[in-house]
Amino acid sequence: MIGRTSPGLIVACLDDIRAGSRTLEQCQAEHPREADELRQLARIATGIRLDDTPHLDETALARGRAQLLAAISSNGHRPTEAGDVLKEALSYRPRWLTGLGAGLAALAAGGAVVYASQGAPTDSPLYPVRQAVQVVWQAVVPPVPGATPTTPPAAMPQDVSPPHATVVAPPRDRGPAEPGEPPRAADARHDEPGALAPGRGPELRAKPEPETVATIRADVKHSAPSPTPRPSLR
Amino acid sequence: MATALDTWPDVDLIESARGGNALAFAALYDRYADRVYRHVAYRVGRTADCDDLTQQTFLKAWQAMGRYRITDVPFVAWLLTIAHNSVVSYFRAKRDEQSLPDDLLKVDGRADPHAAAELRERQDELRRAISRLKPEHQQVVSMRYLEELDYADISRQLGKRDGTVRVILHRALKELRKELPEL
Repeated sequence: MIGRTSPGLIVACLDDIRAGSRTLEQCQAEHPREADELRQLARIATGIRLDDTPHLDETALARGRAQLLAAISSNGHRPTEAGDVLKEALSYRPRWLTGLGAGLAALAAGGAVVYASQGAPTDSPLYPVRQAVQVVWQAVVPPVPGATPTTPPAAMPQDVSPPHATVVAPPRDRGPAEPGEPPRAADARHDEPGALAPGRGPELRAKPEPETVATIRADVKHSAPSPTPRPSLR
Repeated sequence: MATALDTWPDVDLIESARGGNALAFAALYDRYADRVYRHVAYRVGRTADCDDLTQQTFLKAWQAMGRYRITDVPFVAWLLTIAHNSVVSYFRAKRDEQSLPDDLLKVDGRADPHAAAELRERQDELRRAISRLKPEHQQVVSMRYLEELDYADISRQLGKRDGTVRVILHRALKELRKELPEL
């Protein structure tokens, strides 16, 4: 910066002049623009010394020590109690602590948004977040071969049945009920929500699409359970 | 009278003092009392007041030992901060300029008594000018030029950056120059 001297440069020169490693003239030759300031400040800097200040003699030292120990033992002075240490800890706020707090707050806020997005309907502004979480979950948690694909508990939409319920086996066909016989349990299964019509093979659904399951559940909700078992269509 | 505690390093004496061992703290006093005294004497001047302020410094340090954290900064830097605060409080209470009595600055044995007197007068003026600086400027000047602590220790003790300490020192010297144009 034109016209401005560097404090660090001036102070470094003064340190060397005080230590005797450089002379004032040498510093002025190296930094001609600061020559005048160096001259003015060098007289001040080299004058500040403890050289002529008296020392504490042995007698005064021993007297001071005795007075200190007497004050400590008789007046009850003691190092700070733990309570003050807590106050000191609370008042101590290094910069990194502030940054850490801000980071944790941001993490908590993001986590709250992710949690709130679970169960968000399709028309919700949080629905894209829910989809993104599911994509990430599928990428992070690979499906175990042969096992029913699972979704993370937090990502499970509220309107989806537990995973095991998506595996629908066909009713065991033991033939039509004999006249007069009570309806067979197999037949009664046709009334179970989500049950397939007879004749269809077992359908191992991979992770159901939320919309599909929701649609099924919606359908189930709207269809009234028949009071009597439906006859076999066979 | 030497004791076993005299051979302990500072960190062990400090830990022991924090646990309430007054003799360990007295060993720290033996080690640093002279340095604190000279620092206070330079800035204050009166012998009796120097003794009192030195005692005050160590009593306050004893009371604050529980809060002292052992770091890379020398223990004496912490003591000198307490001494500085005591000196600032002292000047606020007095609010008058101190002059060095004749018994404080001993003649340094130079052949020329006039030169010695001139040196003493210059030191007096400089000392009074330092006492009129802002407390923060006084502290940096005394820690750097009187105690010759390095910038890293000063910056850690004051909780400031190295560059900031140098800027403060530069400003303090310029202020002193304004106060003492004939020096």
